Formats: sequence, structure tokens, C-alpha cells
Amino acid sequence: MRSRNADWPVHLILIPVSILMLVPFYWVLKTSITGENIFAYPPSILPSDPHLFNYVEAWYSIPFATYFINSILVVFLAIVANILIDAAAGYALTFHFRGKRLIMLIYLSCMMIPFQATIIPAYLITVNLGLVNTLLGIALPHFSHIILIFIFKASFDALPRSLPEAARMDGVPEWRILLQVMLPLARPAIATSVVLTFIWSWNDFLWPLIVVRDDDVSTLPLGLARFLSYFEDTTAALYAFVVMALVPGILVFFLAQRQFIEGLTAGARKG
Amino acid sequence: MAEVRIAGLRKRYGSVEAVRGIDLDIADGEFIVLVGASGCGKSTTLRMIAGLEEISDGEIWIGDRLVNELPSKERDIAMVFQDYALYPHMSVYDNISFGLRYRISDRAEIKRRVEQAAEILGLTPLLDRKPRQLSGGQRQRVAMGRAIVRDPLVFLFDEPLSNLDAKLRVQMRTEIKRLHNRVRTTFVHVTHDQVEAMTLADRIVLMRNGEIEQIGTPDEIYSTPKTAYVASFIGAPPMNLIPAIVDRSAKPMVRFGEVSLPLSDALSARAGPDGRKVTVGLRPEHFVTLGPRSGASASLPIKVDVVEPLGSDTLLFFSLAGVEGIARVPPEQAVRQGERMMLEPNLDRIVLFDAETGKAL
Repeated sequence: MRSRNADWPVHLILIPVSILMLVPFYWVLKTSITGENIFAYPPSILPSDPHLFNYVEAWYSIPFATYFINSILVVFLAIVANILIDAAAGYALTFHFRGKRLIMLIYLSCMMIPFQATIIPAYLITVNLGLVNTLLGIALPHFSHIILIFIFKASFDALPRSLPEAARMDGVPEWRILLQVMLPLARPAIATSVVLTFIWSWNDFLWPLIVVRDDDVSTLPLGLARFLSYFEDTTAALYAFVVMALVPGILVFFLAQRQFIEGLTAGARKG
Repeated sequence: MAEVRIAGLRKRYGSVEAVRGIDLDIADGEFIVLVGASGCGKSTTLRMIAGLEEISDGEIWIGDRLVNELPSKERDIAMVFQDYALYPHMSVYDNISFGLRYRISDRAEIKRRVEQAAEILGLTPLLDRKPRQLSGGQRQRVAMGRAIVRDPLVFLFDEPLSNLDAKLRVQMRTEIKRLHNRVRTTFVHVTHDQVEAMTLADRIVLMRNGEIEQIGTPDEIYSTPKTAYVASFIGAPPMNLIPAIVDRSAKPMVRFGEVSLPLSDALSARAGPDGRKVTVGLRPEHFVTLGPRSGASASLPIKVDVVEPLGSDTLLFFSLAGVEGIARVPPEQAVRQGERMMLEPNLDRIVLFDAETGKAL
């Protein structure tokens, strides 16, 4: 194992790069609490006279709480569905069966089709299901992501084959094996699924824009667009809005960070 | 309890045949050990009995049921896996009771069975612990506990001791034997360790290249191996196998270079014609050491290359007819490396094998 001292040249490069990456976030945060002109020259590094007025304005000028709760509900639906559906599909792919390679090939091919290309059929299906202008309708296209199926499969493949076999011999039904034996041992995959589904459905703008008619089922990205259309000179309030919209995502990532990184690298190395 | 009958069992993986038509009848309550080198098909055979591998050909009967098409859970068997297959996120109690919950709905009965199994295996104080808090031996016992609470018709063991250190292995071997004596159910145990096979089995099934090389009691397998392979596989150290030629010029003998040994009447009758190439098999313990200039007619002059004192006895390594031989002598016999001496084999214990086919004569 390398000693801590041997890592300092790497750290010397990583620290300034990390700071550089954080500059835009810092700028957004600083502007949101000061309302300074972002084009001011020379730029001030430290915030002067910070206040929360912009947050209050963003909160009250639009139904922020409604958008926020809607976004949370949509994300919650998508996360639960992804864990159940993708884990079940990933578990199925750990079995050997005729046509498995073809199915994996189809999955991979489908990953190459952009969502924009499937919007019309997706919309028609949503209409037929009577889910237009509902939170379930917004969440539906996020119910399964192929990349997460592969992440679950890799995670299950890394577990000893004897675990499901032992349960099977004891007469435990397959769905119970998945829920009670495999899933609890695939926490990194679950964390990855939670973080990625959160990001994708939290940030989704195009699909909600198509299926949502009313303000009371709008999510935060739609709210952001409406907010921009209501106000002209809104940089500081807009940034306050962005900060409030970012907080849940940052919290989810920090809570699941360790498991998330393990999940993304599952199957990449042995043991 | 049930007997297990295997007829013409085959397993093919594409063009590779892992099990090549084996026939085996296992009696009710018998302890059978499948033993052989890696890749001989023993684990595949066990997994086919368990229903974890599909059968390419042949039949498996458990009791009076043909189980070829039955899924594992309907075969009424329990298996202890090589890696124990304990669920890491469950307590010992949950590990043992997990499978029972799908067979018995009465919670009190489940609790009674788990507690009884824990009592038998000495796991009572550990029931609340997680597998990571247990030693290797304790994990092994939990795996056994999970099997015995099921009260199955047949127990299957897939190399359950191979992950344990030498001392624990001996201890757990005794525990398995004790468990069999207690439950008297049919046990099928797979191992590559011949000592495990010898100590545990009522009968040993020695496999090689997907076929059964010999079936017999440990004593039969040890004393009267049917092939040179069996002779070399069973026994630690293994049987000495020395290439020789049948010599009938005077009285029936086997000759290795300048040295020859007389054959008993029984062996002579089976040894074949003069000049036949054979392999002489002699267990290391079937030698007696004599002085350097012994007058005994049936003795082998050797030079001791290496001396290995084991405490209980001493192993002498020597060369004879171009192959390495081993003799096991009492520990009090002081032998030095490089010493020349005569070894007198027990002629009644000689086993002859055909040099070409390897089959016992």
C-alpha cells in the first residue's frame, strides 16, 4: 500500500482542479445571497452584505412548494419502480437461458435510441393509459433505465451463486430470493439506482413539458421555466431557486456516496 | 430417509462430457463419499442430485420418485455448500429458519426446530449473531444447522471442510460423523481429500474423468484397489507403484532391474506369462527394515534419500527401479539420511497391476 505522503503530488493537482470545478457553484450561491451583478469587474470573491431576500422572493412569487413536492413524488415513484423493475430484470439476466444474449443485445441497442425519438409513442401510450397531466404520467418513462438493469446484473453476478441456490433448495420463491437475499446484498447497486434515477427524473424538463397541463402537477424544471418567463431581471432570485432545487440532489448524493461509487465499479474487478 | 439410485447419469457441457454414465445405488441411511481429483465430475454429480444442474442423460431416483424433472425444492434434500452460503445480512437464527418459513407456517414449530438444531450443534449462544461475527467452524455448523432443521430425506455436502484450517477440519469431520450417527439419514459427501473420504464414508465412490473408478468400503478401496490410479489416490503417503517384469525362469517372481521378489501362489496365478510388464503396488507400511547385509531372500537393497520423522512414525524416501519409493517405519528405529539398508516387503500385501491398463491383476 502506498503511504499518504506519496500521494501529495497527485493531491497538488487534484485540489486546484476541485476548487475550479466548485467555482460555478460558489458563484451561484454567492449571487443568490447578495444579488450582485454577475458581470461586475473586478469580481468580488467574498459575499458582501448577504441576505435571504432572493430565497423569499423565489419561494413566494411562484408555487415553489407545490413544484418541490411534485418533484419529490415523481422522483420517489421513479426510484421505487427502478429498484423493483431493474433489479428483477437484472436478476433474470443472471440465469442462463436461451435467447439471453439476444435480449442483452436488444437492451444495448435500445440504449442508443435517444428519448426524443420515442416521445411520440411514449405520449400516445400515456394518453391511452389516461395518465396525461398526472404525476404518475411524468414518472412513467423513468420507471426503468437499461443501464441500471446492467448495474444490478453486475452486482448480483458478484454475489456467490450458492446464496440463491441455497434459498432455492429450501423452497424459497424466486421473488423472495430477490427481495430478501439478493437485494439486501446489492446495496451499492441500489444506491447507484437511487442517485441516477434521482438526477434523471429530478432534472427532466422535456417530458413533463409535454404531459403536464396544469400548474398543480408541475415539477421544479417546469417551474423554473415559468419563473424565468414571469420576471425579467431575476438573476439573483433565479440563483436562489437553483440552490433550493439543488439541495435535495446534493443530500441524496452525500447519503449514498460511498455505496454509489462501489455500485458503479461493481464487476469491474474480482473479489 | 431414502435410498438414492443413479442410473446411466451423464452431464454434457457442449462437447465436453463432465459425467460419463455413472451408476450408483446408495442405501437408506448410508454415508457415501464421492472423492476424486479436481474436474473428475464429483461436484457435478452432487449438483445433479441436488437439482442445481440439468441432467443430460440418465435417471436419479430418491426413494421411489424419479426426480429428473423435479425442481430442487421438491426433492426434499438439504445441502451444505463449500462456502456455507450463509446470508450475511441475517442472524444465525434467521439463517437457520429462513428456508423453514416456506415449509412450515407454525412459528412455534419453527422456533422449536431451530432451537433443537442449535442445541445439537452448540449454536444456542450464537443465535443472535451475524455470520461475520462467527469463526469458520461456527459458520460451518450454522450451514449444517440449516440443513438439519429441514429434516430432509438426503443430506448433500459439497466439500464443506475445504475452507477450514487443518485442525478445524479434523474437528468438523468428527462433527459430521457424529451428526450422521445421530440423524441416520442418507448422506452424500463430496471431497477431494482422501483422508476425509476414508474417515467419513460407509462406502467411497472414487471418480476419475467423469466415471466411477471404484466403489467400496474404505478398507476395500485401501487394501484392494482395482486400479493403479485408486492405489495412488488413496493413502497418505500413497501406495508405492514400481514398474516390474514377471519372471518365470525359475520360480515365479517380479523383477525390477537387478532385484526380484517372489510371488505368492495366488498372485502367481494372476500375474500372467513370463516377461509381462506389470506394476507392483506396496503400501509404505508394508515394509520391515533390516540390516545392511540381511540374508533374507525377499528383500530390497535401498539407500535412504530423505528421512521424515512424523512423530507417530518415520517416512523413508528411497529410489528403486527408477521411481521414488516410501517406507513407513516405527519412530524408535533410528535411520540416517544416506544410510544403506535392506527393506523386506510383506509379500502377502503386494498388489499387481497391468502396466498398460493399470487394472489390478
